[in-house]
Amino acid sequence: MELTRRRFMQIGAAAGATVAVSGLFSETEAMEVELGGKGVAVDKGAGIGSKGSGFDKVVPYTCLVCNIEDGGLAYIKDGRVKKLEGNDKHVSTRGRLCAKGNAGIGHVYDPDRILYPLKRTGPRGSGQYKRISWDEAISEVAANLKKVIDSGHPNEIMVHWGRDRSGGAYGRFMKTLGTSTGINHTSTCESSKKIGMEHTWGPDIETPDFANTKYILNFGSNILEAAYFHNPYAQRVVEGRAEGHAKLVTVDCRLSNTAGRSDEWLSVFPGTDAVVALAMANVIMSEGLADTEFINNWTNYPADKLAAHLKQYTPEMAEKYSGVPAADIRRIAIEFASVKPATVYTYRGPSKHLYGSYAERCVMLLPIITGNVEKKGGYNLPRGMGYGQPGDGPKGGSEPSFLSSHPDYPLAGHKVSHLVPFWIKEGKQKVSVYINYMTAPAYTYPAASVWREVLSDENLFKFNVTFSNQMNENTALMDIILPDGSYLERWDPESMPSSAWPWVGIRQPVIKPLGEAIEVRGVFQKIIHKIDPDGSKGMKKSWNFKDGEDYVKQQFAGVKGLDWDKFKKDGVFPIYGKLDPATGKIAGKDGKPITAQFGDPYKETSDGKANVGGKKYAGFGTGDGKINIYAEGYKKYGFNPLPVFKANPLHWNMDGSSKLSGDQMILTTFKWNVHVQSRTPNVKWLTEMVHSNPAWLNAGTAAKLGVKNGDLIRITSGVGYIVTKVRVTEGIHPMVIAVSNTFGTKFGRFATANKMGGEGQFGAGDDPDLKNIWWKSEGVNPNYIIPAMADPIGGSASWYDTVVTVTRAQSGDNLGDTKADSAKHFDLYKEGMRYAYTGDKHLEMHPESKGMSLPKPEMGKGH
Amino acid sequence: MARMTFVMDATRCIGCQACTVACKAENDVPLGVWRTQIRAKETGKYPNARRHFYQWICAQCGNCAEASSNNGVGAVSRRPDGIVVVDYEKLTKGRSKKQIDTEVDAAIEACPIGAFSRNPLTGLPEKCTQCAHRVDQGLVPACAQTCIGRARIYGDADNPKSEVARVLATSDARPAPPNDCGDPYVFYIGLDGRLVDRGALEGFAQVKTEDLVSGKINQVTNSLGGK
Repeated sequence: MELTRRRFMQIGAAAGATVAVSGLFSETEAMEVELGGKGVAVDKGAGIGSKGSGFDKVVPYTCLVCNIEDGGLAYIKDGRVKKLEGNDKHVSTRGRLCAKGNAGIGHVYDPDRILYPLKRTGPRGSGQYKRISWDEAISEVAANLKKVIDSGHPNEIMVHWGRDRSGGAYGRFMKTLGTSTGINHTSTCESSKKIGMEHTWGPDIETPDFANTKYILNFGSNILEAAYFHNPYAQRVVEGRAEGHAKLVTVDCRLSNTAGRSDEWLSVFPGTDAVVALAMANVIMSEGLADTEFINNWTNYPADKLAAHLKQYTPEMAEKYSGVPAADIRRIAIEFASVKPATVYTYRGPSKHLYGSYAERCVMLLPIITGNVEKKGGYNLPRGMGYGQPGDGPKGGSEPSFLSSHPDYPLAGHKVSHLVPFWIKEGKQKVSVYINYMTAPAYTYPAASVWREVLSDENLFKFNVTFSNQMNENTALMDIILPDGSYLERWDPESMPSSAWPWVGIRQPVIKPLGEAIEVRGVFQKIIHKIDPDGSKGMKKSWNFKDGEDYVKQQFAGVKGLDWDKFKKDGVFPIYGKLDPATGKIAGKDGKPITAQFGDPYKETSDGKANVGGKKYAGFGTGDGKINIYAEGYKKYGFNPLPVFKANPLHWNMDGSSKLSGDQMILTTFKWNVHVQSRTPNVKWLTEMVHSNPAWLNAGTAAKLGVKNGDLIRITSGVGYIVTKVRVTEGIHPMVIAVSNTFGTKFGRFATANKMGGEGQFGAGDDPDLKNIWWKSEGVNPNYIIPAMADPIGGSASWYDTVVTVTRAQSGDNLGDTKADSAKHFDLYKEGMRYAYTGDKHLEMHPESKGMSLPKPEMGKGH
Repeated sequence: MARMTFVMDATRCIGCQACTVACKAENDVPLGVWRTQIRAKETGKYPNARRHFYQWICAQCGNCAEASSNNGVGAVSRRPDGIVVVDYEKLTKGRSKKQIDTEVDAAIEACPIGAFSRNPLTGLPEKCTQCAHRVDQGLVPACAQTCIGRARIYGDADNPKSEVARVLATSDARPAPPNDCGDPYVFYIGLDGRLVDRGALEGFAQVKTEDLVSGKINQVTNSLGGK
């Protein structure tokens, strides 16, 4: 992005050459304290790694247990990773890792890890495989791909990814194959947030300056446990609160650790964050606390018209939907607007609902109308830093694919991946080869049972391949398994806007890959070379690199000032300064904490896009350079271009009365601070802490239902039920039940408390701790009973909207019983499609667009 | 002279458990025992519920050393800088399993907060040594190194220039509970008063695996079940 790139260049110039870090501390200071940070590392003098019994070497890397991409240092002894620590040179991470990052060696030395290629021998799902050679595996995969390519229908190759951090290599692989059927996993995450933000100010994420703010109004983000960017942001939230006395208010339906450590927790009924935010905006405007000059100059909608639009959203109306008392809405709104600087933050809470994109835009209004955008301590644009792609890139598929550019969701630019199995079953796209990378839809997606069903069906999915090195519910449906290296054994370029300073980092092998694992980039190359051995198909030329390092090195060739060998030693670029043990902050040459730059959009420049008072300014990443409170792109398809609240039609009648009967509630899910969805349950130190997922139920509700802590309950949705244990708590909305979605796997000996016993089946060495497992495995996966519906705007799964009833378990019910009816899943998927802009409910939900002629659905539009 | 001291700032702790895992990795602590851990407790009635974190760790009170001395060869002892460490060679060399067990059992029994335990793989003691092997190299303990909230301040309280000395002098840091065990080496800032009484402290003791298995201790909050 132009803006962020320019910002980096400025900072680079200001800081001069990167500051060398040497001699982290002297002997006399050795016993001084460090508030975290100084203990890192350390080569004292020449001998690298003077820690404990000593290490042979220390290798920097970028973490990939979740997607925050923290900088780390791996301590290696005798070829084995002994310890991981945060990289003290990393401007965002500042020497620290979270629990998951600290436990990362569990991914390398997972006793159930797959360490050589496998070919399925039993039925799909049975987990029965035989070891085969890489030659055999590559030949079989290449032959299947070649057949499809030669048939002239490359879109029958479906390329699916989740946590792909290959820096474009997987996309290059897809394009080389000539298919357009590329499916990500973003709709299971925050895509509606992105579609809210992109239409408003350009970028799809914000980077609040938590460290310097005075007020944080957090809508549905669990920033102290997970979310983007947990470790770097949590560091700065604590700084802002402990050192700057910032107030933290969290709007959430569940008492997450973030809500539980906030100054105030506003418990909200799911899917109503938007009306709370709109009511707050209304109060701010009508109390005269808005920055009308900012609104008039820097947004595309006049303050008086905005105030008039907001009038309908009274705090009393918001209370009716959300349950948040009108007095609290009024009070928090006035506080937020009276304290400067202030920021909001969101993640999935507001946006994982039908019409979630509206909700994101409603929350964004708060920093916008108070003039808190792009300022020190405010609500700021992301700071990214780019890297390139090697030359000779493939062109990619020529025909659009229904699955990746579905006509019913024209605004869903991040795709609608969770509806894909339904579309495949409906025959919208034939799949001859399915290629899976870093995603486990048959376990982690809503309607996971439907994924399992279609992936098991050899008529629908003829040939399934994965690069996974972990056997799980999804891997077990694959025909060939080509095991990737772990994240500590491969090359990737990295960059994330995880603090106010842009950076690039690398992932590099800290040890040689175990067993026969080959990093995925090398496997792509082997496959392409096998399909096109002499280059006559024009595919091979895109894959002429020596190895992973050669490929990734080329990607950084355009980054000015980056020296490859130094980069490999530092792990990150640029280095802004030295971690100051006294503050835990990065100090510049003057010994003071480095400061970030703010306000790029407000810089006057002759080629600026934004016209304010006859002058040109750099502006925001929108067409007119202004913040688009009025989103023209929404209007075209009959959506409301203004931030509005559309009460979920499955929860509410049009007159505002509740549709839910007395015993119905909303099922929501969440992430633990020690787990991601599918890759951590077999990491022993994490699973020792959290190994099951009882359903959180409000104490008052539990009393009404007659259930006690630990009792078995049945949670029944429109598609089936699960039987699980209940955790009774005061920390959840009375009409909400929360079940985390990490547990319930039947694979992995740590994950299942060694129920399967025996030895590792796929080449990994055993862990003596297996015999010390003391917990019971009681996970129950809720994803099978969560229907797949999509936000008609952003396309995100309305994951936190599921209507359920909760009852005591019936006689004969056993913990873990799961029943999910595919036909009913189909019914609810179709019900959800009725709200798409092509559906019969669209204009009913948007009476303001009645009479509009809407564009005809077309493939490939808006994607 | 040095006096190695922890100040645990509960106002900065986010309960992320990075410390817990860093300690396990640094010290090869097997499943079932811990040297440090974040224990959480929920208080209040809906919708005024809150969550509190307690950075549970050995207070270096020395009761285990005294018990070790009284019931064996004194393999557990306090170093001049205050850290209570285990001399595994002294504990085991030329001694019967029964002698070793007697000494270890006495030390376990003597600990008021359950921070002295037995390694299930070796049968030998597990206790927090403030990562003495790191401290001797000039490094902070692994838990403090990785602490996301910078909620663990570590250093020499006798050095007036140290951060720990500054914080002790300028905050309301007070000795770790229970605070009747002589000279304190671990202090807390902002630990919720409701959680520091002795009754509540039971919930902070070394997790008894049977309590977790039976559900007596809730894995979600790590606090004792029941209301």
